[in-house]
Amino acid sequence: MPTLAAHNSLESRNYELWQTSDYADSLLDRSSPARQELAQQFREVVELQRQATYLKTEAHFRRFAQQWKNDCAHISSVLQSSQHPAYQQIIRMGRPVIPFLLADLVRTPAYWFFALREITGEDPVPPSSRGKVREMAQAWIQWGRSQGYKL
Amino acid sequence: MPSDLEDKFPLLVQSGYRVTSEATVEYNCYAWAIGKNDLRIDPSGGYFWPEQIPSDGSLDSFSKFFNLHGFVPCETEALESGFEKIALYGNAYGCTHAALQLPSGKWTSKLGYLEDIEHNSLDGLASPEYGVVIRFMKRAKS
Repeated sequence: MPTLAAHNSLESRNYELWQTSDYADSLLDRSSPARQELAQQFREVVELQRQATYLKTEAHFRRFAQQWKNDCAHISSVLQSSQHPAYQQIIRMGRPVIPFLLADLVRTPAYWFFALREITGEDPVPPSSRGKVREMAQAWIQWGRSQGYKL
Repeated sequence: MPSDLEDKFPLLVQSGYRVTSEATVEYNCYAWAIGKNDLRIDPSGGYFWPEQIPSDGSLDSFSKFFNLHGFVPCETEALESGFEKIALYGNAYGCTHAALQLPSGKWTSKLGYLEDIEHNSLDGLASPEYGVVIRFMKRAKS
């Protein structure tokens, strides 16, 4: 897993290269090795930024989810437990949190049906499966796979 | 886990209770109150809820739900021969919990995603999250 330090090092190196006018001139030639190398480095930076965002989202999700479970595991009403600030924070994270909700459903078929409906505006659970949590989780996991999430 | 329960429901300690199941997410208190342990019943979140009943979570809506299962309102928690009773708890969110009376006169509750318990009094679950008992209902034992 690339680190933030590696990310910073790569950006620093790009800046140093950019300072060299010969290098800058060579970038005008689309086929030049320097241009291809820069394009590759750009892709690496984009990928590092994507992974950093992913890790940040995961950390926030885990913190809010644990807080919510600590405070609300004994609550029966979904209407009530879904109003907890930590649960609302998870909903406000929007679509980036979906892979973590689905992954948690694979482990425990509970907790996130309300959030998934709120975030996606969808509900893939067939009427015959409502209330049967394993079937509900399976319907959401299949929905996730159909949307391209790796589960 | 009992210490967690007692943290959430401090009145349970003095009223008396015992844990009667492992924690499970497979069913909730509303299902447990009508004798089901394989269903989560809730008007929110896409769980099982009859279409003909409003999904506002109010006491009246839950009363209609339990009425579909043969329960009618009654005055007290007193044990009545030939009937089983439920107690509905509520707070500002509406109906928050249902407990089922046992033949002994004690009560059984499924606590959210946690365990089932047998509790000696309804007051044991009085709490900010559950509120207090606001309605009793009964139906003839089958």
